[in-house]
Amino acid sequence: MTDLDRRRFLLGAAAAGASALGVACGWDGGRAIRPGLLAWSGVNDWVSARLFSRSRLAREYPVTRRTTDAEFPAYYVSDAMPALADPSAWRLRVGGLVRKPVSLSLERIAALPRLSYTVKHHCVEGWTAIATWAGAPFRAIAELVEPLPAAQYVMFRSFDSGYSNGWDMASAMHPQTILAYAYNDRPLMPDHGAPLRLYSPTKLGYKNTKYLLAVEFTDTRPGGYWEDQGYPWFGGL
Amino acid sequence: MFAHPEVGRKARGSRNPGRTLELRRRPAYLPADPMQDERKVPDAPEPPDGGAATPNVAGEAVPGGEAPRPEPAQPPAPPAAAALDDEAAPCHEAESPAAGVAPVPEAGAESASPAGAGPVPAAETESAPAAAAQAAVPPPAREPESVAPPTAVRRHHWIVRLTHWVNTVVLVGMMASGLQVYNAYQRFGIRGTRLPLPNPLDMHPVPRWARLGGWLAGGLNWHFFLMWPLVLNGLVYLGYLLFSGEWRPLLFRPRDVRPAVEMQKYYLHLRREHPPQGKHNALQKGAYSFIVLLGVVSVLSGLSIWKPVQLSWLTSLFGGYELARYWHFVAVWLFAAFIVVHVVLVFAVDPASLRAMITGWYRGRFPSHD
Repeated sequence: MTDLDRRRFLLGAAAAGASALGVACGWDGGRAIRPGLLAWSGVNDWVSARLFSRSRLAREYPVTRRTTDAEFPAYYVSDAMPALADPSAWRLRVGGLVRKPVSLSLERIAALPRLSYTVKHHCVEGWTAIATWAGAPFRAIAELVEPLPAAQYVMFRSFDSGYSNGWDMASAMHPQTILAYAYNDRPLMPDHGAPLRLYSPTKLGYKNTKYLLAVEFTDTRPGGYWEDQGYPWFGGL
Repeated sequence: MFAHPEVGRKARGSRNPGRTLELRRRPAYLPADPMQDERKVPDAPEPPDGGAATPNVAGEAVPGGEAPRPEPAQPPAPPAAAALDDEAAPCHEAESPAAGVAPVPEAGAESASPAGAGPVPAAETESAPAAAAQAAVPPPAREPESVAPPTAVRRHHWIVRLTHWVNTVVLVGMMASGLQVYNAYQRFGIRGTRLPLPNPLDMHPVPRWARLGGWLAGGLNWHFFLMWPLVLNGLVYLGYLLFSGEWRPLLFRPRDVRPAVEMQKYYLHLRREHPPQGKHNALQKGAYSFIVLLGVVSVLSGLSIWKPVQLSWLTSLFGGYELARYWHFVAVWLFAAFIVVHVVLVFAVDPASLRAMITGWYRGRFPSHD
C-alpha cells in the first residue's frame, strides 16, 4: 500500500463517515434497518423480563410530594376525550383463557380489596410526576376468573379508539399492579382514564391502559397501540 | 524509557542562524530519514506533522532542528495538503536512501550542546536531520524501497484498534439517538420543578442533524440496540487492558500530577521543552483515564434510568431518576468535548498516532512504549 493509497483511504473513510452521519440524521433506520432494530427490541424485552422482580416494589412517596393536577399531563389517542354515553351501563369484561369469565361493575370492583400508593410515574418521554392511585389489585381480579395455565399474557382493551396494551403475566400479577378508580383521593377523572384504568409504578406510562373496557387472558403475546408502532413492548422500569 | 527533552521544543525565529546556513548548503533530502532507524530518532518531530493543522505545530521542531525550517517562507504546501503530507511523511521511502549521511550527525551534535543535551544525545543528533527531512520537498523519487519494520514501533494491539473504531461509531450513534430521546422532554426535574443545574438545551429542541432515530421510538430503539455493542466493546477493551498490562501507560496516578502540570505549561507556552514522556504524556493519561471513567458513569447512569425500579439502588446512587438522567446528559457534553479535543490534538500534535490506531504501527515522535 502506498502513501497515496493510505491518504485516499483516510480521505475516503472521513468522507464516508461524514456522509453516513449526514444521511443518518433524524433517520429511523429505514426499511433496511428498522426491522432489525424492532427485532432487537424483542431481545431487550426478554432482558427486561429477566430483570423484572415479581416481588420488588416501586418506592412510595409521602403525599406531600405529589405533583399538582395541572402539572400532571394526561393523554388519550382519540380526537376528543373518551367518555361513556352511559357510565352506569359500563362493565369490565374479563375473559379469554379463564375458567370463570366475568363482567364487573365499578361497584363490584370497588368492593374488592383496595390498594393505594403514592408513587412516581415515569413517562417514556423522560418526564416524571408523583401521584396517589387507588384501586383493586389485578391479582384479586385474576382470582375471581381463575386463569388457565395456558394463559401467559394479558390484553387490556379500552374505549379510547382501540388503545390497548399487552402485558406479560408476571408484570400483571405484580403486587403493585392495580385497576385504579381513584387519583389523588378522588374518583378517577376523565383525563386520567375514568372510570377505570390499569396502573403500575413498574411500567412506563404508556403501558397503563386508560378507559378500560376489557381484560383478556391469552397464550400468545398481544401487541398494543404504541407497541405496534415501535415502542418497547415490555416497557418495564 | 526514552527521555525526549528536546522533542517539540519551540523553534521561534531562528535561534541557529549558523546552522541554518550550513544546512542550506546541502540538498534537503540528504538528511537521514527520521524513520530510518526509529530507535535512534525518538524525538524526530513527526515530520510534516499536521503542520497545516496548527501553525503551532509547524513551529515545533527539535532543538537542533530549527535548521530545517530556515526559510520562513518555507511552509511549502498549502495547509490542507501539508497536513496530509505530514501524515504520510514518516514513511516517505524516497528520503531513506540519504539516511545516515555524514553531515547529519555533525549538525545534530552542534545543535545539541547549546540545547543542553538531553539524556539521549544520540537521538538528539538524529533529530536535526529529521527536521531537515521535514523541510525537504518531495525529493527526486529514488529507490522506492519500502520502510523496513524496524523503523516503526508496534503501538496498538488489534483488539485496541478494533474496539477504538467500534466505539467511535457506536458512541456517535449513542449520542445522536440519546439526543433524539432527550428531545421528547427537554427539561430536568419532576414535573412542576426544575433541577437547579445548568442545561444549555433547556426547553430547546435538539437540531435534527444531531439526532438519530427520526422520532422517540426510533431513537429509543437505536439507543437500546447500540447500548449492547457499546458495553460489550467497552468490556473487551477493559479486559484486554487488564490482562495485557497495557493499563499501566494509560492509568493516571497521583505521580502523574506534576508531569501533567508540566505538560500543561508546555502547551501554554510557559515551558519550552516538551516534557519527557513514554507512550502517553501525563495529560493524555488523565484524558484516557477520565474517558474510561466517563464511559462507566454513562453506562451506569443509563442503566439507572432504564430500570429505575429494578435497579433502584443504582438510581439512588445517582441521586434519583431525574438527577441520573441529568448526569447521563452531562456525559454527552463531556464526550463531545473529549472527541473534539482528541481529534484536534491528533492532527495538531501527533498525526502519526492516527495511522497507529489504524495499522498498529507507530512512526511518530513518541516511540517509547513505557
